[in-house]
Amino acid sequence: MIAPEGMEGTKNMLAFFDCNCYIGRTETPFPGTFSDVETLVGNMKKCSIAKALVWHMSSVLYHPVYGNEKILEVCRGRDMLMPVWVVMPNHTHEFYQPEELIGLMRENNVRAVRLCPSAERLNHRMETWSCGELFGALECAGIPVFISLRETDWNTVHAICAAFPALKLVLTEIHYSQTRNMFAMLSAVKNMYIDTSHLKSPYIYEDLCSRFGAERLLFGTCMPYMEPGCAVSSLIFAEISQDDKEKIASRNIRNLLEEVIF
Amino acid sequence: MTLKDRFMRGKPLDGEMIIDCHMHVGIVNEFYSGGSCFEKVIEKMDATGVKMGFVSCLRRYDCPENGNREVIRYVEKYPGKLRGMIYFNPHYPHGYLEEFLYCRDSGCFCGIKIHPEIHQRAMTDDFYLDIFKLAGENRYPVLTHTWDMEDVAPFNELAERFPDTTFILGHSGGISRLAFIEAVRLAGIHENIFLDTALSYALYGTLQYMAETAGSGKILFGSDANWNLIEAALGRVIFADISDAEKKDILGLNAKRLFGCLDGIFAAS
Repeated sequence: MIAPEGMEGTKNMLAFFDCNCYIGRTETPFPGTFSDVETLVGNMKKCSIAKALVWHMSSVLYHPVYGNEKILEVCRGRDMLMPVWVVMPNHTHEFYQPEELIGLMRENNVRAVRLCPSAERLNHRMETWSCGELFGALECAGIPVFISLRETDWNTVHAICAAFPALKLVLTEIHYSQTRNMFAMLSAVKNMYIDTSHLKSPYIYEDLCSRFGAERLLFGTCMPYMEPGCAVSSLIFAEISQDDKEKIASRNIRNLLEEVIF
Repeated sequence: MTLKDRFMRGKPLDGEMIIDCHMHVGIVNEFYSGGSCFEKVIEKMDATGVKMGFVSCLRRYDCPENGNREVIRYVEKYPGKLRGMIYFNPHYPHGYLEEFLYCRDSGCFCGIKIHPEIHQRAMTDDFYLDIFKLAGENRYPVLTHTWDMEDVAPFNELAERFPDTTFILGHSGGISRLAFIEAVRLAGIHENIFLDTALSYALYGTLQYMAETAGSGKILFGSDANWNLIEAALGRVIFADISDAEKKDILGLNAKRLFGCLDGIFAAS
């Protein structure tokens, strides 16, 4: 079972499932931020976040194999946390072949991955000549793939979604300055989902739900980079139905994770 | 019940003095915003319990005065709900004094807004120096956009040079780590420098750092609507790890003290 007891929340109070968190130290932390799991869990409780998908920063600042092992250790024994692995193509034989990766994920019940392909992170391309095999395997297994818009561009997102129409691509950190492109892409492809951590333009929830349905939105905070109260407040005060709020808060991501074929 | 517990119920924070010192009216050109229809922003103010907003209009390049006239129209449409910030473009300085007097005498404004980044002018530009002097003489706080060190650093000297002028560093230096730290430092050492909370990238823990370093009495609530979501901006304050007393200072009590022109409006509060 993915959802813990009481996940549905009470009548007028939402219980959240955060699809976008990380832990671990960064190169240049802002004053006031945190990097440890205890503070993450404390913030989750403060914001009624019952569960979170979490990846480890050392997966990109050091190496994915190292960081992915660390996140398993962190999540072990903590029911509120689910691990996310950072993955990359394996043409250099420093990671895993796609079939082996899926097997290891099954073994460790890891149901989501993140790619960090920018030059400052793992520095690889996402075209099919680079990530085709990887995306194909993730598509077959139904594993949601998280990518930050800070790490890619709209043309690449479109190419991936078109080439792998059953791949579930979750685009994160979509700043309000990108709303026009976001609307266009949601129209153009049906297998792209968006996290809510950076949705900050007025009436954006109302507009997105009426145009594309609540099913495309996944609640995310981007902790510890962002203050989680912003994403929580935005959804609480959105003028959409309670059913849509519950979908965004937790049901959509739960459904995606339950559809993983292991 | 705490402010956070009340807010999480999705009801307006009735009975609290919430003043949004950093808002805009007019169409947003750089991206799609539902807030280009400002009535929707007013609805969100009511839904969350924001009593008053200070608005400026930045994007009327055809004639800067047109933006100020647009502000007057909105303030007259929502009396007691909005007040204006007079906006100046240093590239069109002709008649700025007449414009200031016109706006001041309209009774619709309570401060001044400048945006040196858009206008590519240094804070120490002669035009801005004239504006700072005028603002001090008229007790109009100046809200200025700050996004990097170049925007922030000059205020160490400007605060001394214009002791009667109140400076509000909009965005508190933005997401430049060094500019943010310097903005908070300056607010802590200069009585006439304040910070605001308007920031689309509401970085975790930064508000707590601002309150600990500069003091909660030096921070004003700002949302940057109609660019930003008011409810998200409120969440940054209400979920912060600071006391409810500090949150109330930030949400409106500081602004009420700072903007003397509100005395009549909130006399009964």
